[in-house]
Amino acid sequence: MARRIDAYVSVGLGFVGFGAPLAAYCYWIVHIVPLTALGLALVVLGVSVVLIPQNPVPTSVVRGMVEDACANVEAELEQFDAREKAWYLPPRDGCVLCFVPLVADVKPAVVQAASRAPVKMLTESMGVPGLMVFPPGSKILRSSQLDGDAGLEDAMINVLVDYLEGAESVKVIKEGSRVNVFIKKTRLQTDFSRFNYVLGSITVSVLGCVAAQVLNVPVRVLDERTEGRNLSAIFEVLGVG
Amino acid sequence: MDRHKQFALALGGLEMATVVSLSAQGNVQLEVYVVSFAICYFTSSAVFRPRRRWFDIVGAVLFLAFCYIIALKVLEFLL
Repeated sequence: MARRIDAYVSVGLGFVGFGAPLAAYCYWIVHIVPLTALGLALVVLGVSVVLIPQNPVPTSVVRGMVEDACANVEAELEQFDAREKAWYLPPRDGCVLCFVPLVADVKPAVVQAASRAPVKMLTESMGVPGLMVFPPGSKILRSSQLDGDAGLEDAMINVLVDYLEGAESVKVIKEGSRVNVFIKKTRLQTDFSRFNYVLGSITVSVLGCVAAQVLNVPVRVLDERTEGRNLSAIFEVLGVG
Repeated sequence: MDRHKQFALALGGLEMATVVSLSAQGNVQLEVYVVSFAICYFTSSAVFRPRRRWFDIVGAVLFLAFCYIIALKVLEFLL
């Protein structure tokens, strides 16, 4: 299971688990007031600790910063008139990068080679020009301290639902070289049309970063559909199937 | 150390000090402990202002308990 145990919740429940029975036992059975008070003190402390959020930065602030980060990427994509779907590359130095080809119908070998292409805004992979973009979700993966052994669905839930609180739930279905992802009640939203087309919407983009990191192969967003606040996306995984 | 940890440590320290000092006084009623815990809690909250992931249920319960106990004592005094 990839979900991290929240340290505050663990400690708080420990206090409550010890304090509540102690208070009940001392109040109703042995009638010792100071020990009853000690149990109550532990319950108050435990519940207070449970209510402390694990992340010191409010998730609404993190969400806002992630959404704002899309503006720079949008400007870069507009500048170079990028029209092809981006490939999320496996992490390099801990960072997931996106290779956005500037020509159509790029061969898989070019995408594989892009993992070793120089990291600069305008780059080349096997002679094919493309943009190297830092997707907003890349740094989130690092700060979320994703478990290295996590499965894909667990990792996506860990980052998008637990850490970013950007959606209510995520479900993943793998079919050969494709990964279907269903996201319920997303809370992230951007209106950058080119960003949305090239990298996927910000929610899907974050999941693209997760997929590239967990699967350790290039992935791209093939299709994305919106139904109210629910999203479904299809990722293509390079070199599978 | 961030303020959430400071809050937890301060609250724990104040509560333990309360239990030790009141129990040393001898025959003290449980209501006195509860009122003292409420004061400790609201003092710590006011000083460290921790964020909470949900409604402050501890504060609400302690406040209600505080009001109930004080009201009982006032009624006891008046009647």
